[in-house]
Amino acid sequence: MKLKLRFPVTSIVQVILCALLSGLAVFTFSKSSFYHYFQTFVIQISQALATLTHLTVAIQIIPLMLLILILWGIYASTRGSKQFTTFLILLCVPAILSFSSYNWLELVGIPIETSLRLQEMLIIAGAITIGHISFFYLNHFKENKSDLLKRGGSEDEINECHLKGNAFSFILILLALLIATAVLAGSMLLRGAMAELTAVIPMRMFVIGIGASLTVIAAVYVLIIKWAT
Amino acid sequence: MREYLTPLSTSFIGWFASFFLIGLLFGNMVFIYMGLIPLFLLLFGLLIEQPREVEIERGDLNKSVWTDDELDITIKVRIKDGVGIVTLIDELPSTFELVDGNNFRVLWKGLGEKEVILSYKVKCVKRGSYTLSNVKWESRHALGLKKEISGACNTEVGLTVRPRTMELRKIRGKKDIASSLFPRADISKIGVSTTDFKEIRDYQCGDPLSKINWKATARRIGRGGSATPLVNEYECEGKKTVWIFLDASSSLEIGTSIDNAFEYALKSADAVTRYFTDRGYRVGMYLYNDGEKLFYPDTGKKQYLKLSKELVKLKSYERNEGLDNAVRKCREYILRYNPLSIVITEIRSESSESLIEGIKKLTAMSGGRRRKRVPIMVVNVLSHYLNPTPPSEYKEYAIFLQRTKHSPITSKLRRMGATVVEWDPQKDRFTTVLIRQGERR
Repeated sequence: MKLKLRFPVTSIVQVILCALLSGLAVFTFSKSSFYHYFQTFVIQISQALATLTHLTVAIQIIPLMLLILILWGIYASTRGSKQFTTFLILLCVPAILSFSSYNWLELVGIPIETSLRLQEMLIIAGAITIGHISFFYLNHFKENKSDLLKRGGSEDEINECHLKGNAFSFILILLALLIATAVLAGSMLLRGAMAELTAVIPMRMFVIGIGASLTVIAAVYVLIIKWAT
Repeated sequence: MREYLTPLSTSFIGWFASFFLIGLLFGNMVFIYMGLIPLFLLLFGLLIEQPREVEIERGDLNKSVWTDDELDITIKVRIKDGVGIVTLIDELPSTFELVDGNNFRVLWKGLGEKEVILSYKVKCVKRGSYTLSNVKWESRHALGLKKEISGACNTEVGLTVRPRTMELRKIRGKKDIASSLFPRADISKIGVSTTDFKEIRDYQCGDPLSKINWKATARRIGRGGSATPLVNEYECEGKKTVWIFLDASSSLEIGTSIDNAFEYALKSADAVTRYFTDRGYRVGMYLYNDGEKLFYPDTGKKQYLKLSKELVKLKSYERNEGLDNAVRKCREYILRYNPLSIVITEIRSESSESLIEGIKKLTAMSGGRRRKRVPIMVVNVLSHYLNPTPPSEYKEYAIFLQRTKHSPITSKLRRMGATVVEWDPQKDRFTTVLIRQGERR
């Protein structure tokens, strides 16, 4: 059976991007306290397997299986699956949660910590997010190209269009990242000024705040809908 | 909203909402930051419109072409607004063959206004009246956040593809008793001479002296040839009438949609019409198995164009009128003009009875068996080889059996005095077949 890559350049970009994101997500996960639980869990399982099968090799198989899982995830992502990049975001969640002001998980006895600093975490979160969006677009362009080719379009023309389209969307993604970063930086600067005010906000006001935020979200949603239509 | 936004935009909204809510719930800045990125991307994306105003014009187009001619189609496109991918579709009739370029184009529209001229080449392989429909366009959003918009510009244009006329050369028969059915071979003694030169021939008793071509005669004597004077022969007015019976039955459509017996029957009818109208004959036509279309016999180019126009748009029908009924309907004209009748069909066992009956009636109308050969010609378009199946031993046997099955009908028609011309379009040119027939005794 011949392995035929329909969109070689896009697939290669996706593989590289996916590998980078995987590395980043695994690194973030390893820096969280969840990694310790995971490590203990894996060792216990491998020890149990070794006892059951009388094979000491079981412990060595675990990293291999993880590698296979990542490779399979990369392959699935290049085929259009979104699950793997979502899984990579989930790997970062324990580390992100350690920067929470209201750590609900600690209430149920799950301590969450990370050795990463906030700035580092923000860079990783931004990278993971734009990586995930870029994946969306690379798959979207692949589908688009496939559709246009099926309809009889010239490959050169479609490639040229997609090159320009990719460049345009990449610029917009970067712009969105920059503005989000600017908003965040602005709010961090304001945090100092707001600290005294937020300290005196009682719990019920906090709940009202959530309600108001929900209303804002809904209003934004409705506005977007109206705008779009 | 769902009619307007794509699932990608709704997933961005969902993504922002979920991250923002989790961020609020946990008081987590990182989650909020992660939610803001898709939100801003969505807002920018929705600010940018996809192309909506597209103007399309067709360039100069030759509206009347011959079959197998290559036609240049030019389209001028002007995209005024928006950013995104624009696709242009110029739908072609199914019988047009794309030779060069593409009728489906994909363009990237950037920030400025875009104007492009697109061109491609098509080959018109089948006769007919066609319409090049409106050029359709579709525009896709640059970020895929809005659904596709499509439209069409008023660029509809009619196009006539005429069958390429098969040039029939002069079919000369030996001067003998009715060696050829073509009236051209008959020397017309009656009728006023026109100024159309026909040929130079030997002087015959009764020719006026003014017709003698003295220069040509002197030249021949000078070369040591015969001393018989040569005379100029001119076309005569009031020539015979030719009546074409064309079978428009769908059972003739054996082969592909482009290359089938029906198409060849039309081509031969067109060639015969042109040949005779060019030489001043009256040509009439009856399309049988096709709603009784009758064209009165007339002369000249106008008549040729009239018949040719009809042949261009002619479609086959599943009727079974039969030649006998066709002859009955044309009885009045056949009796008045006593024409050379040319029946263009394919001899099939299922229609053989009506064919034989029709030939019988025609024979009776044209003076019966008093003449050795009656002025009736049956052009049998052989469709066996037009069958698109690949050649094989079985196919050869099937063709042989088919021909054997039909040979008694052909023999019967010949015995009745009709001339049967068997034409295999894959093998022979129509002229070749007619010449061969003219030489037959």
